[in-house]
Amino acid sequence: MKSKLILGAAAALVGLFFLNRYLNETPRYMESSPSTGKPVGGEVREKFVVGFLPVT
Amino acid sequence: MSQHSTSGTQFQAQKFTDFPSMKEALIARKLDATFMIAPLAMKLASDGVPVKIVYLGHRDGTALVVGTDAPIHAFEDLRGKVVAIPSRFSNQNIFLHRMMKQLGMPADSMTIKELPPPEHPSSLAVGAIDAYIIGEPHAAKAEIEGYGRVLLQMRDAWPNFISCVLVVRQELIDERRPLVDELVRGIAASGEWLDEDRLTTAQHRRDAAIVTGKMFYNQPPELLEYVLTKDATRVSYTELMPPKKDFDEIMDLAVELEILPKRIPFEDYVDTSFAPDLETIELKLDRLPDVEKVAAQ
Repeated sequence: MKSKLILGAAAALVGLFFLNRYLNETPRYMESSPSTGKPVGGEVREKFVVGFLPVT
Repeated sequence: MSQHSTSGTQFQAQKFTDFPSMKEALIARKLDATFMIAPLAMKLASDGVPVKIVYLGHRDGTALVVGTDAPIHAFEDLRGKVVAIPSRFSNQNIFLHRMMKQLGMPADSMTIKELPPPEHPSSLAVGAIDAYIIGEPHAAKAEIEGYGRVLLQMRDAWPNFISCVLVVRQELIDERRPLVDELVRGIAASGEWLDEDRLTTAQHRRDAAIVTGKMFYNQPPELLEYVLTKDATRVSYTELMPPKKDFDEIMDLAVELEILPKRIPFEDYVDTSFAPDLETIELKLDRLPDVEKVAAQ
């Protein structure tokens, strides 16, 4: 029983590790926070937020 | 990023779902620059908020949408109907009144209802409204999903229609002029790039649909591609210097409709000094970086 619990916990930890890695690598929009735009090239001197509403 | 240097500002987009929240953020200086509907910017300036319109966001790109099978085939058929607008302080609202006046219809011919833009298509779908007038992609959404059809494109009814404009706080203009210049040049360059091949392959717009849909709008890229490429004149991203003649007309209509209390001089709410000479803008990109990677996500 104890070994099953240890195995289950280990599997959960491995799963969480991969989930965390996947989420960090996947760009996704977060409401109320600035989106992340990747600069075309060069050095980012500063960041500046511009508001928009997704409508033309 | 500036096109003429290896360093520059990374402009990040903060999404809002309604204009009142955006307005409050600008007033409270939680935000120093934003795209917003033109009459709302004029109203803020009229109320003494130190803001200026420095560039347009686009031209046209708004449509009046009705139910697919609704017995509405001309503007006059909207008599007695409920029509949604994004805000009282929008050119969509001004347009409805302009049309009613032109057609000799009383101003109360239709019930005009303010709704946040994302709620327009769903409200039409459930029959809560009979029509809506809004910027893309919310007009195309009803078309694609099969419950709406375009009664008229603003391009045809009010050519070079102005909806959203870039508004910045006066403090930013006074204290950080190079940053505003960089922002406006970047928007001008993006617009040139989007329109550059729109009548041929429209590859630039296809790339933009993928990146914008997945990373910024949180909307299906297919919907944005439909808007940007099915009829490439549906929305334009060039000729974005704020035109005095058009704003004077908007101002007159807004005062007449009591959206604004009185006329204010163009120079009090617009600063055209940032609008660049488009001949000086270089378009270095062919495809957007990592577009295929973004598409696969």
